[in-house]
Amino acid sequence: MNVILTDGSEQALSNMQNEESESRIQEMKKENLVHLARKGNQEAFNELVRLHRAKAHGWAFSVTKDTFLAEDIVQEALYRAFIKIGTLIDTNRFTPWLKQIVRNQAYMKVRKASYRMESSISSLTARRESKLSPSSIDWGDIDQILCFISSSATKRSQEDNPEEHLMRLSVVEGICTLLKCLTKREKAFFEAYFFEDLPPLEIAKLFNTTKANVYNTISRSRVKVQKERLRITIHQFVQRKEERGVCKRKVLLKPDI
Amino acid sequence: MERKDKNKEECWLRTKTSAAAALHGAIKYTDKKHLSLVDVMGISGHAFRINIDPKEINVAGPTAIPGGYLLRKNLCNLGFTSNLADSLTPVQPKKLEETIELIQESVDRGIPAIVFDMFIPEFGLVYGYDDDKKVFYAKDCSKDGEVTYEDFADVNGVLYTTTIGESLPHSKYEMLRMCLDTIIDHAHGREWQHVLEGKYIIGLKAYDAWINVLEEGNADPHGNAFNALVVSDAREFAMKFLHDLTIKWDGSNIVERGVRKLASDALKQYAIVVDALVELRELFPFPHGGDPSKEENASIAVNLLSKAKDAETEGVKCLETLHNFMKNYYAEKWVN
Repeated sequence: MNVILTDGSEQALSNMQNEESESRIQEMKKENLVHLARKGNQEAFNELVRLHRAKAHGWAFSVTKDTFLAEDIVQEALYRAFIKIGTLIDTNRFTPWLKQIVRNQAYMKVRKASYRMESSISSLTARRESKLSPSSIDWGDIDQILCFISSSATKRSQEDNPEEHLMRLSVVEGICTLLKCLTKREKAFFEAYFFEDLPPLEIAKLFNTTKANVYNTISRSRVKVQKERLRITIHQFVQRKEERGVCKRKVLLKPDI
Repeated sequence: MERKDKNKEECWLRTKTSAAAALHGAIKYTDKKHLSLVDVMGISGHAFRINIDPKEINVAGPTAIPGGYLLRKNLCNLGFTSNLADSLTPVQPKKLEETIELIQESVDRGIPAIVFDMFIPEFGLVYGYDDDKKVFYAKDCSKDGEVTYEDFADVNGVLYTTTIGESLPHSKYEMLRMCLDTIIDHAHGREWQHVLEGKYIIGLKAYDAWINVLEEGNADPHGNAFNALVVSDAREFAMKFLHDLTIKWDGSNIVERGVRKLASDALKQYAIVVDALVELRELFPFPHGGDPSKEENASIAVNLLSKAKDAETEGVKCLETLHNFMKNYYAEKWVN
């Protein structure tokens, strides 16, 4: 017990030091930007404006929320595996599922059919209800991981901020549905991708880890996933427009500003 | 930056307020292309704005505005309906599609879309698109070029665009009334600030906030200089706008004559504001910003800002008189 406590406090201390040095770096970065901007460097000036604006809007802080960090990371790793396998398997079959998740239609469904969604997911989770605590899960079994995350999301969707949790639920639900449709071989691919990104040990650690580590991992993976999401959305948007045969290019006279 | 000469038209083609520059740029593609940049600066109210960070006068002040709300209000004053996209990022795929569609639909109708931070964190315009290359053609005060759909979508905060809808037949009377409404509300801090509430100070109180920072020695030299540049440029436009009112309203009826008289009263006050702010701009040249922490400089600056505030307070009173007059014309003859 003592050992664990010592371990924990050392970890906490090193986190605090990390955070401090982080803010020192930020401060130095800002000073440097001010210096460059005063010499007339436009890029530095732009960066300063963006920094201040972001601070005023508090956007930077609203992106990461405390409660679901670990689950977010796992979910995003699933999502990444999902995108990778999409580029390998039959796209005709894959695309509809991808659409379902990427477009996050749950958002639309929330008001109309929250009861339906809850019941569909509860059938999935009912089987292993007794096992669902972070310590008892086999983090090498993708079905168990999905069960754990979806059951947690289901519970929380009934509590605070139901919209956000139902959205989370819909992504997990989409992935579950996808997995059911995959052949054994395809599923093996999916698992390989997923566990390559996040090995079982890593996942287990996430649920007992320090906040700082989780923040780092999540912000890295978020950026990647978001970029990929944007790319796919734009690709599909342009493709659909092409199918409709509407105007693909228009350029007006250059504005005088 | 040189002081603007109100007799030279070429002095009035560019402003440091990019929101108004973008509005004016877009309006050139509509049936209201006759509106000059001076008209747009005045009618939108941008010529009369001041937006100050009360901690250190940081550089984000001039653009730290609830852009979506404000630009639509500006367009309303100018006699247009408008559309807005401002989804929080990371943007949902459906919202991203709708935002791109909104821009493309505006370009298809022949009017550029107003956007923010395409190349630098200022307002600009998207004036074309190409689906094969997946790019927008965009221009702001720094650059003209291509921006990929992906880069457009990959932003922090909100994915923003405002597009012009229909042009409405507003009379010059309505336009003046609406613009005075906007100007007076801003001066008294009666403007919706959304998440920026309390973080930036607007209107007449902004001068006090600015003075306070200088007195405490907390001014960021760079930000201080940039704000002096933007606000002094804006008030030069305000002065020119009021000057134009005294000439363009022809004096053929009592309202025309009233506008001339009351606008010229306000003009006298705004001329004092401009003198003070231009001097401030020269004291703290952008970008290096001079030295506002030096006591002597700070004290000169505080005097100039007090002078500007006092004159603007009087100027706003004149504009309130004009506003009341525009809402309730005098009877020409009254036998009592």
